[in-house]
Amino acid sequence: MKCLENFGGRMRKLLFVVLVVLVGFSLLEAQTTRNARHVVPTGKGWGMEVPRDIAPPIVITGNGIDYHGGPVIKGTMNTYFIWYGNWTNGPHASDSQTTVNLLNSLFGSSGLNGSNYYRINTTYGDNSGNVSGNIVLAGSTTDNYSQGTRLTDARVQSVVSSAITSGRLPKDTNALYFVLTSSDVRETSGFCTQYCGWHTRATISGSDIKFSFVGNSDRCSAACEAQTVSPNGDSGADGMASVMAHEAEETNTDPDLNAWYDTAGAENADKCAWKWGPTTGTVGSGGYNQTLAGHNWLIQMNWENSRGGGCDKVLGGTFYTQ
Amino acid sequence: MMKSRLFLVVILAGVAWSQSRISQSSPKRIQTTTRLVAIFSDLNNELFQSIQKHDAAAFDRLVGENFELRTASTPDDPKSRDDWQQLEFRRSLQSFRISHMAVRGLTDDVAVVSFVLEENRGATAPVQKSFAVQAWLHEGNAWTCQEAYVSPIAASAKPGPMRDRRPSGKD
Repeated sequence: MKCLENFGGRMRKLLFVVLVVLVGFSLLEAQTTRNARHVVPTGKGWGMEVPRDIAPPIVITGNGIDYHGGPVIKGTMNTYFIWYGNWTNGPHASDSQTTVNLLNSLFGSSGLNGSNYYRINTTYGDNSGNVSGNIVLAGSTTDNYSQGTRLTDARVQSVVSSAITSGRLPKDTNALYFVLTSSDVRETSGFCTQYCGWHTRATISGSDIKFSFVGNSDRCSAACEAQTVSPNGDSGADGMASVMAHEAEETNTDPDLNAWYDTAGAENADKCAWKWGPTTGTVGSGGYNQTLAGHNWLIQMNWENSRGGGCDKVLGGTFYTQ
Repeated sequence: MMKSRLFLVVILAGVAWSQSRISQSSPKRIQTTTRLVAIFSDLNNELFQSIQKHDAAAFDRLVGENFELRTASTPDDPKSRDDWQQLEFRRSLQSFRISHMAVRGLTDDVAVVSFVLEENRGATAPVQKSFAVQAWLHEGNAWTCQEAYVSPIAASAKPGPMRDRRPSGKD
């Protein structure tokens, strides 16, 4: 009998433990669920997820790209450049101060910032506001091959981490840090065969830091440049300009990789990659489709999240498929 | 007995929950695909759509006359373009998906393309996942596929740290 009583006592204890654990999991799940999303029809054949607890007056849907509940970067998005390698006199002519000056001007206050092109991004938002369409270059630094000439993704992150922890660049969570490598640097995870650039996020010094890799496109002009005769006579800078605009647009609208992308997993700029719309001059012979900061550029279109969605060169402009 | 079952339930629940947290906390990079990946993604989509629709004209435009297909199971018995076309056009391809594409342009006119191909041939057949490598040649104003090597991917193999239905920039 006593044995049975002991067994009953142990069982009660065990059940109590199980109950506590299950309640714990349940609370955690409840938290997840509260942040999880409803799926609502968009009229386009796929569901649309919106937050369960908050009416989404700002988030616009039904334009071929879906909101997944994460934040966008609001206000002015700062950018920081880390010029990695040799940007003075590297193996290609574009490994030069000319490239530095051109890309500085593109991200300067009279470049992409507030342009009708970059304002396409203002059609994206989260539940507390929309993207502003403002983007500026807030600082830059150099890195003299601290990780060698063969970079892995982890080493790219180390380059960013080092720039921040050493104080060469400020820690800024409303920003995108670009690691820009000269043409003698390999990124071993697929630069030139799979990608021309990428963006991601990581926790660095306890903060959510967004960063991007873009290599000098002269390393593989066939893969990462639309034309070797380019609007500014600097094929590396002109090739990188479009990729950097692409990464900036995506980081602005999907900084933590949980905000805006479509059913195939494509973010806004992915949906218009290597599509220019009409150009002045021919692509291949220095054609361009944007004039910013006093320079002509060939920069890919971006996906506008309105009017049913489409690639265009300026906010509210005509949609083009190529 | 009951005690151990309950422990098992608790442990499994904990493991499942922790795994879901791990997968959420390790986002990957999102890529801007190369111009060549964009081109050969389009070409391969056209190619497999021609197979899906049994569109011989489109198939012939994309596949070179001297094309050969080699597979892991019959490496010394390649299929010619006509043999491959007949085989594919006899059966149904309900849907397909191309991912993990990489393209190396060896010259302006020669490209080596690799990718993972998922083929769904209907409810009676399991989805087949293969790793494909192709050689493409640029002649005139068009690219044609000259050679293809295809090998099935074992169900247990995981091709790289990609996530389905999340931004990858590769698809």
